[in-house]
Amino acid sequence: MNNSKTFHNTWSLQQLPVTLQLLGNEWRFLLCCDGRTNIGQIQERLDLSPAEGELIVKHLSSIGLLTETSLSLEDFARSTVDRAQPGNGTQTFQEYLATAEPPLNSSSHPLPKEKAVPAFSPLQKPSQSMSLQAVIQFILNHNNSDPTAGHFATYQVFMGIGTPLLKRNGITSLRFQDDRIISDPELQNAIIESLEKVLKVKCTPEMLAAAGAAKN
Amino acid sequence: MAPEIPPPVLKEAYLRFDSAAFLDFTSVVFISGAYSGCLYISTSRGLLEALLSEHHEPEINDQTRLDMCRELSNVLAGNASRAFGADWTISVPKSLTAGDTGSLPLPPSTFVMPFLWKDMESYLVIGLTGNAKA
Repeated sequence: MNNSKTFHNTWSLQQLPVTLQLLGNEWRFLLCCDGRTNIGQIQERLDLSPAEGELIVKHLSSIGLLTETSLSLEDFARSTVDRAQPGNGTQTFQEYLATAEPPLNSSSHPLPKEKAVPAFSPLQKPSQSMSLQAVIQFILNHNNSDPTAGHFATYQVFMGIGTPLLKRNGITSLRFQDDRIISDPELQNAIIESLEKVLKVKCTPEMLAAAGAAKN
Repeated sequence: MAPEIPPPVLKEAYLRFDSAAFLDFTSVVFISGAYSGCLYISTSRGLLEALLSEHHEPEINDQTRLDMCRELSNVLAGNASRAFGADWTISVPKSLTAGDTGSLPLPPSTFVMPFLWKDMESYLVIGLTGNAKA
C-alpha cells in the first residue's frame, strides 16, 4: 500500500454505533486518522508493520469507517512536518519535501512514541437524540390557541438556524407533521437557542428528546 | 345565472430551506420591519389565463398575463399593508416572469403556502430574515 495516503474518519465518534467492536490497534489507528497524518506516519507512531497497517486500513475502509482524503499541496506539506529534518541551511520547497519524504526503512527515524499517540478513550454514548416532531409540537403547543401563529412561530425558529447547518443534516424542507431524529449536537443546540429566543421560554434537550433514542 | 366561481383551497404549508418555489409568473412585495424580506405569489400561466377569462378579457397573451400578475401584486401589497401595520415598510409591488426571478434577493428560509384554484397550484410565500430589530 502507498504509505503516503491519508485517511479521515468517515463518521464522528458520536455518530458511531455504541455496539461497534474493533481490535485495540484498529481503534488506535482510527483515532490517528485525522485527514492530515499519512498511513506511514501512523504505522510508525503505533509501532505497526506495514502489513499490519495495511490490514487495518483495509478492514476499517471495508466497513466504511475510513475515507481516503484528497490533499492540497499545502496539506501534503503540513502532513510531512514532523518528518522534515531540521537543518541550518535554507531549502527550496521541493528540497524541503524531499527531506520530508517517508524513509524507505521506517525505523530509521523513530518518533518518540509518547509524542503523537492519542490516548485511547472508549466511545462515548451518543448524546441524546432530538425529535424534530417534538420540536414542532413544543412550538405549536406554545401557540395552542392559534395554529397559524404556531406555524409562523415554527418558521421563525427555523429562520434563526443557518440553512447550511440544516442542509448538512439533510433538512431542505419541513412539513409540520414531519419527524426526523436529529443527532448532530450543533443542530440540536442551534434549535434550542433559536426556540428559546423566539418563544422566550427555557427549553432543555430532554423536552425535545426522541422517544426511544435507538431510532437513529 | 353565471356558474359559481370556486374559492381557492389552501393546502398544507411547509418550510423550505433550499431554492425558492417559483412558477411562471410572480408578484412580489418587499417588506421591512421587525424582520425584512418579501412576500410573493407565484402562479402558473394557466391560472392567470383562467383569471383573465373570469374577467372576460378577450386577449390572452404575455402582456395581459403580466397585467393580471400586476393586479395580484396590488392585492398582495394592500393585504400586506393591512396585515403588517404601520411599523412595516412595504415596497411598491413588482411583477416578474420566470426568467426574472433568479435575480430576486431572497432569504434562504421560506414559508410556503400552496393553494389550489381550479385544480391549478400556486404558491403564497413568505421569505424573511431576522434583523437587528428582531
